[in-house]
Amino acid sequence: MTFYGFAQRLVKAVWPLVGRLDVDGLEHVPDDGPFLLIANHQSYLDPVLIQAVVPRPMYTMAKSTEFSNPVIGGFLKRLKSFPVRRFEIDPQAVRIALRHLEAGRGVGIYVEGERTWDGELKPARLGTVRLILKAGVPVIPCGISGAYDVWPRWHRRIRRGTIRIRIGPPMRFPQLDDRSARNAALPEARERLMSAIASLAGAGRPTG
Amino acid sequence: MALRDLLWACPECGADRGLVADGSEHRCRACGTRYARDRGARIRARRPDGSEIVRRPVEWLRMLPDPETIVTQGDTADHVIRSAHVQMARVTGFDTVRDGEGYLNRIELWGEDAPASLELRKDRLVVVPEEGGPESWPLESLTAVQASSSSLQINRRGEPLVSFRFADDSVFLWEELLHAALRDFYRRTGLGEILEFQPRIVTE
Repeated sequence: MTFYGFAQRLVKAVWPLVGRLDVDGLEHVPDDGPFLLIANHQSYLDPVLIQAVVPRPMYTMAKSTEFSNPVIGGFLKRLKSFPVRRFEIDPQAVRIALRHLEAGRGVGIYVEGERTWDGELKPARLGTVRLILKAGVPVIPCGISGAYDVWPRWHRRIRRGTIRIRIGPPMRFPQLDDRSARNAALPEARERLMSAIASLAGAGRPTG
Repeated sequence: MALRDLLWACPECGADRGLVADGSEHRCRACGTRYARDRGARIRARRPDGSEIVRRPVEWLRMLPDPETIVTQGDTADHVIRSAHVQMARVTGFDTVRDGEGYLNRIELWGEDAPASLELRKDRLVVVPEEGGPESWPLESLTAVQASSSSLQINRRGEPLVSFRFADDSVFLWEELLHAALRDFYRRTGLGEILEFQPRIVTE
């Protein structure tokens, strides 16, 4: 068994001690071929739980500062995370994401780019929508809810609660190699994507 | 992170930096209202008269002054919108991260924390380290702003990434204020409407 598979089993075994997990729509994750799973971000628990339940291994972007600690960085790499520098355009992170997709793998991205402070959905990061339009692979929208109630950003402690993960049917976006075409398609693609995620997360329209 | 990172002022009486940790709760040192996490992520306020009210965080936040309004107050460019004591660190270099398939990316290496004061003014940030001279950073030189776990991180054109940890203030508020100040500055100077602050400031 791989470390990733072990971690999945461990999370599934331990989580019931903390709370309930209600998952719906796993059948929408393709059995093979590349996909981008795009989710909202409520707490540190989101990547742990989503990667535990999605049946296929998923490569995820994690902020580069997390890799500064060699122990945490090594752990993250074994969980198929790769660093993204969030304070400048980071073509290397995009290259790595595209490389995984070209290899037929799944890549997961938290589209708001950070955990919500107030529990509300934030606008999608434009870079993620550009990546979607460049990759042209199936996009699996994912809405997570309840994680903010279990562990809000402004509190140190986890509390018991139910976390719901809703995965929607694959969405198709055009593959646009031309940058100006991608820029032109951005607003509509962003709107479609966030509408789907908001619906799955049971949230209102993005704020901010 | 603590409740006072979210509620940077007391929603009941408006006291700025009013909340102080008191056991498992936070207490407003001005009006005595006590705040604590309630069911889920709801926040319960217990007033000195014993009455209680429970609201969602977003509802409490609506009762606080709007950062967009705060940054437009004051007539001169020297007007100090907010100041705070911070621990400042700068990126001093980079390391590379690899996995079994090769090069993944480069990551930041941080220097030592140094105490400083940070001031947000209408058109710039002023950093005054305890050791060393003051630095003035015009808002137009900032290229990205974001709160990371417990710090505010700022990128400037041609300069290393800087991180500020706040000893007695809210990182959430500073992020909101800096966003609002940048929006206001960009509007006033005709630079456009900011769409996002990260990974770089993007205008329409």
